Amino acid sequence: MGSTFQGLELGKRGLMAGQTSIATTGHNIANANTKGYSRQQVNTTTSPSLDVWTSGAVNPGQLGTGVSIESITRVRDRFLDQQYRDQSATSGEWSVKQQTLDRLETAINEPSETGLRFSMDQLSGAWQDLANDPDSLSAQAVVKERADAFVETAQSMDRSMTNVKDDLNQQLTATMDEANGYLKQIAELNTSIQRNGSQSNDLLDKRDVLVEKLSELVPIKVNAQTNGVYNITLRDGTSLVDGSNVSNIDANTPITGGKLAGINESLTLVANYQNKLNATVKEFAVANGMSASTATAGGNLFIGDEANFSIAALEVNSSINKDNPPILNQAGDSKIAQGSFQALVGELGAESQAASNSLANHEAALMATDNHRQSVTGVSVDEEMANLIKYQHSYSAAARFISTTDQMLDTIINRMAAR
Amino acid sequence: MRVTQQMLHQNSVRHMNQNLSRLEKTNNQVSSGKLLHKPSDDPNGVSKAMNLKSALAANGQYERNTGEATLWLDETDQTINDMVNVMQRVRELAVQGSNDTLSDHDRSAIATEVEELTEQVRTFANSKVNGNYLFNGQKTKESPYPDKDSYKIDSFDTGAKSFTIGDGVVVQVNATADKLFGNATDATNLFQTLNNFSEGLRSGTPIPLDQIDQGMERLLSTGAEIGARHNRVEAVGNRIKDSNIELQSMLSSIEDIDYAEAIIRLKSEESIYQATLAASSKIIQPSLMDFLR
Repeated sequence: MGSTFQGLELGKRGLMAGQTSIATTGHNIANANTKGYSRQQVNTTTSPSLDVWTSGAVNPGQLGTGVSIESITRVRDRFLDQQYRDQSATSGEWSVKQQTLDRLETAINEPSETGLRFSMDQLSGAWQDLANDPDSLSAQAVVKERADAFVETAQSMDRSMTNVKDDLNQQLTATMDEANGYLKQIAELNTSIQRNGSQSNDLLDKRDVLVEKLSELVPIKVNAQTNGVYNITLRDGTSLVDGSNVSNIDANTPITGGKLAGINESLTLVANYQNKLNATVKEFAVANGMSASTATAGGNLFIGDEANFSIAALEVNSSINKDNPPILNQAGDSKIAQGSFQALVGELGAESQAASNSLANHEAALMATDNHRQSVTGVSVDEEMANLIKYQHSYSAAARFISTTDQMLDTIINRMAAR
Repeated sequence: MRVTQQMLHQNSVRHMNQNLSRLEKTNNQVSSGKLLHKPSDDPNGVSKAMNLKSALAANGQYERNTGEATLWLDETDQTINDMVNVMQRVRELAVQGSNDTLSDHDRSAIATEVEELTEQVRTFANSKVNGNYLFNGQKTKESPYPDKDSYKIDSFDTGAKSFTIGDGVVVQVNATADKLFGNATDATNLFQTLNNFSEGLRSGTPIPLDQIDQGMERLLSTGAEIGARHNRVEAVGNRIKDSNIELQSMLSSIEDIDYAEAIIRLKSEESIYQATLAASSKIIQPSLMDFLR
């Protein structure tokens, strides 16, 4: 038979379990909107029972001694986490590419009434006006002006593309720094978690948020160790975080996905379109007549180096005046260059459209995974409110139990002995 | 599936954003009247639209060229007609001058008129359009017959003055002096004939009636050629106008919106957006908290 005072202990355990549960519920409610927070739950178990004599069986009976708190754990699904990380790398990659293509579309400025196509058409028209009236000084001047406008349009387009490239290069460095920052923080959290034990829920959450952010930048694999430490590698096995050790990402790290790879691919994309623009502008300039230097230009409209062409160095023949009128290159056909430009715009449009669609798809997939994850780990305020009431009732009941025990003790001590 | 407030919130916000961005896109289309704003809206359409715009720009230029060509041909035609009129008077005078009954005084009077008429033909030969000489080939800034005796040497240019009035369609708009009046060495050079005529009247040599006829014939046949070319340019001009309309309507079908359709779309997207807002305000607000005492 247990001790009379045991009731106090049993009641106290109930109170403690209730209090802890209420505190955890409060923690959950407070963090309902905290990014990366996983709801926590108090896992309770019955405390070891006492053997008591019972007459009904050979074996002694087991008298319950109340509740004990086994652990407080996060509700989280590791597999959904891994799925989320994989998808976030892909969507990070496409998001950079889509943004870059969007900027290129802005730089190309088509369809419009002020773009390169327009200035090409205007120059072609000016040539015909000049052919209609070869001696007209104004027609000659118009050809030169139209050529100037063409060069300016092409150069501003080329500059915009160079700007995109410069921005991407800066973004590359910044993103690498960002990733390295995450690696360092993850390694530090690894150390803290190892020290505090694998039940440090809030530290684990913090680390998961960082890993998620990292996964958007580079494609990673996470190996969770039994001591709570995360070892992080690239998909090909290159180690990034090993316990508390960090291997920084640099330009030579083989990155195959994520925002970093997206930036690298975007750089190639921009270079590709810039080359195409370069070729188109060159084609057009040659078709209209281009010479290497003003001295040998004669009536050629453009000055540029055909073998080593650059849009930035293209200029209009300054020696053209009324004594040296512009002469159309009869062998050239500027329609071919206009066709190339249309092809360039079409290709850019198609690629940009495909990138937008891919991004939308990957984002939708990411959202779906996030919804799944939220469904497991997210805090439902309704549920917490219901829990709160449940725990409050169990707390009150435990308190009532203690007062009952108290009354029992009062009966024994005060009312039995004093008489 | 367990649903949390944050999920509801996140999804509502996402859908609101999606609907708003669709609304924005349609609104953009309605307010600008254009379906295509950047290449990715419809890569093929944009590339086609660019092609059509270039074709329209080229057509605009061809239209201008056609106008210019018509002007040249009109002027040429008119001037040749005037010259033919003059030559008809010359022929009348030639017939009259062939009469043996005329006195020397009469002949001299006729000769004077013929000389005047010759001068008139020369003036016509030196006519200008827009400051350019009509009958001096490509050297349109120099006159073909600067003075009376210029016809004796071929000082004029015989180059073709041409206009491009279509893709690969080049039309010559001028008549050259050699075709109209003959070269200096030609026996039937018009000025030579006219001079012979007036001199013949004074000296009593026979009137070169045949040569006058031949000269007139030459003017008429060149005039006919110019007239035919005029018709051709007009036909091409009409075709350019037709093709302009076709190109415009094609371009419009690619890049212009159908207002009726777009406005209905805008309205429906507007109501979808409002429904999303209304639904979100209903879903997000209440939780169990609202119903606990």
